[in-house]
Amino acid sequence: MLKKCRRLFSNLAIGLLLLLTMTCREPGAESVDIGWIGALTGQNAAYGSMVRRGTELAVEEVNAAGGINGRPLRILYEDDQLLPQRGVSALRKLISVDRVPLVIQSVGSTVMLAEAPIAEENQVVLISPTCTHDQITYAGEYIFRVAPRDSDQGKVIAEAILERLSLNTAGILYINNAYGAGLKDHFITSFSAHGGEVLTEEAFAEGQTDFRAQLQRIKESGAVAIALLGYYEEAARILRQTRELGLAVRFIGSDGTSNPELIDLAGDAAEGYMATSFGWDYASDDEQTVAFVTKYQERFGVLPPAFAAYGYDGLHIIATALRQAAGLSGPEIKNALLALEPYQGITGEAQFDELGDVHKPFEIFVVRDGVFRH
Amino acid sequence: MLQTFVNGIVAGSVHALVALGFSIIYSTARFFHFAHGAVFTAGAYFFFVSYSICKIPAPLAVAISVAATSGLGLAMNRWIYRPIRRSGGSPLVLLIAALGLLIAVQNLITLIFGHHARSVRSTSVTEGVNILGARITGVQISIVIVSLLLVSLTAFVFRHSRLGRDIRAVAEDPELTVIIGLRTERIIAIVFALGSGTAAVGAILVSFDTDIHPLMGFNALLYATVAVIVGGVGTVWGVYLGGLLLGMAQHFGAWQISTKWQPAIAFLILIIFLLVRPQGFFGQPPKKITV
Repeated sequence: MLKKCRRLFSNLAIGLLLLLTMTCREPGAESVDIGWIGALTGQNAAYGSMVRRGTELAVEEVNAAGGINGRPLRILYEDDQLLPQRGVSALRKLISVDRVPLVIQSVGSTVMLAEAPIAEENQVVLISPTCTHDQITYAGEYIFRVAPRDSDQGKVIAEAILERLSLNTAGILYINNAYGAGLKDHFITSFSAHGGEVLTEEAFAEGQTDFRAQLQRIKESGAVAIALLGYYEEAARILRQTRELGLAVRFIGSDGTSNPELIDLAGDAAEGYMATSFGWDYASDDEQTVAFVTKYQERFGVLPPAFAAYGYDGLHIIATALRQAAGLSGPEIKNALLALEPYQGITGEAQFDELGDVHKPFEIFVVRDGVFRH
Repeated sequence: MLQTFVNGIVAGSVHALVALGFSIIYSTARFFHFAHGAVFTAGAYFFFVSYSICKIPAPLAVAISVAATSGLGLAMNRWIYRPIRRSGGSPLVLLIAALGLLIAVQNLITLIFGHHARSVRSTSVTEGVNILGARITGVQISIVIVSLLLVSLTAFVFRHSRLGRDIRAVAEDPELTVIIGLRTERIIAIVFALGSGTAAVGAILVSFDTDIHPLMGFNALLYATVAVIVGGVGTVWGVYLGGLLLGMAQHFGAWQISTKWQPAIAFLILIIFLLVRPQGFFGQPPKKITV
């Protein structure tokens, strides 16, 4: 008797669960699902979360304007902690369980390069709004990005030192990962090609807090211009410790450091700091930009960093392609992305070349009166 | 040279501040309380809330944060570790519980405050004082002095007070102390409160020197563990010297060899000590007991 009762209950429970999942799947028209992978926990959670915020704002706008040809757009978020092995399992899950035709890799070239072969094999579009590593260009026909290459960035930083600061010697302070080390090599290539000489190369680890050993070696090398290749949290600490040590050097930072929060963290030590950015100028008076900045500030209480703006533009570009695609399979979306007309977003104009790259110029921004300005 | 020396002393003092609490808890309760890293982070965030958000004057904010952090350490002991000890859990079980606590508390802090770094400093960044060509900031001078003071005070209490004697007795043989009528659990609780309090002091100083981050305790704890093993488990001054040696090695190593290897230097030292002198600088070699 007891056994029978138990079986009845478990059957009922399963039935109820099935009913529940079925009703959850049907909120009016069937949604168009796409995947999203990024660091939402762990040491680098800040970077994934910035892109996610921008993405969320864009999804709301897309759905308010009728979604994808009448069907709502839905994003399935997965966390990779910026670790390649986690990214790979997240991608496998999105492809085999959720059967999405397109996945956004929010940040992390290293993760994206590990995922690329799987996306290729399954004919699923893998697209990133921020990844700048050069190898991504040749990672496959389903691999896209709405960001320029690091070799361009290395060149812009080298030119800034040679022309803006009129110096032909420099030091390098780089984060010891694929992004920092790759960018360092591109910088050295460009700088040496223009007759510059690199006096010292100093590395630091992700999440490091004490940079005094690195700064001491820079001081002894005699370098005055320093290429700072890393992210904003470490960069803010470096700027403060440089000031405290009384070092008179000028930094030119990579795009990972150009974030308004750097100024909050470093205070007045950030004044005069230069950093590259591709297309994002939160101080611009462009109508579209102002609208985004206002919306972002109202929602999240802070100024939008570049990564949020890239996430926002990236999603709008994807939505445009999804609307124009002949169908919602990977190959059809890929063709729609390649055929896209130039898209004018808040981070400038974007159009994919045959390799799935866009060509946005890197520009130098300077901190003046507590704001990154052109 | 002098600047590197100063940098090494400052870094070493920070290691010692974190290691001090970790070490006295280890020597009394006999397990690696890895959640000490989360206690350290919590100390910084208690201070951030009271000083930067609630705008409480600094001395009072320090007192509140130290008290709250001690309370957190006590709570971990009372509701997690003590039940495990009572049900006869081995040090390995306690260590795994501690790792779980570390992850849970770190993520809780992230959930509340977000995953980005925050600053408690509001004044402008100024050049440090020049001492014979080496620069050192006021905060760094405080770090060096406070860590020396706390270590001396702890050493004094351990050596010359009744509490210190009781703690040493529990560390030596918990079962025997029960037999002679000491309340072992009460002494362990006091040690958790004191150890967590010192971590809060360290965290507050670090937050003024750099900034605060939900995962700041993890690296701090890694280095503290190395400092404890190098200095010798259970010796207060040994831990201090272990911290200093580690700080010096990191800065002189990076200066002389390459900054690329800076994170590896700490662990190289750990491996060398484990191979050559596992009891650390001042630790006693393990006794061989035959029954």
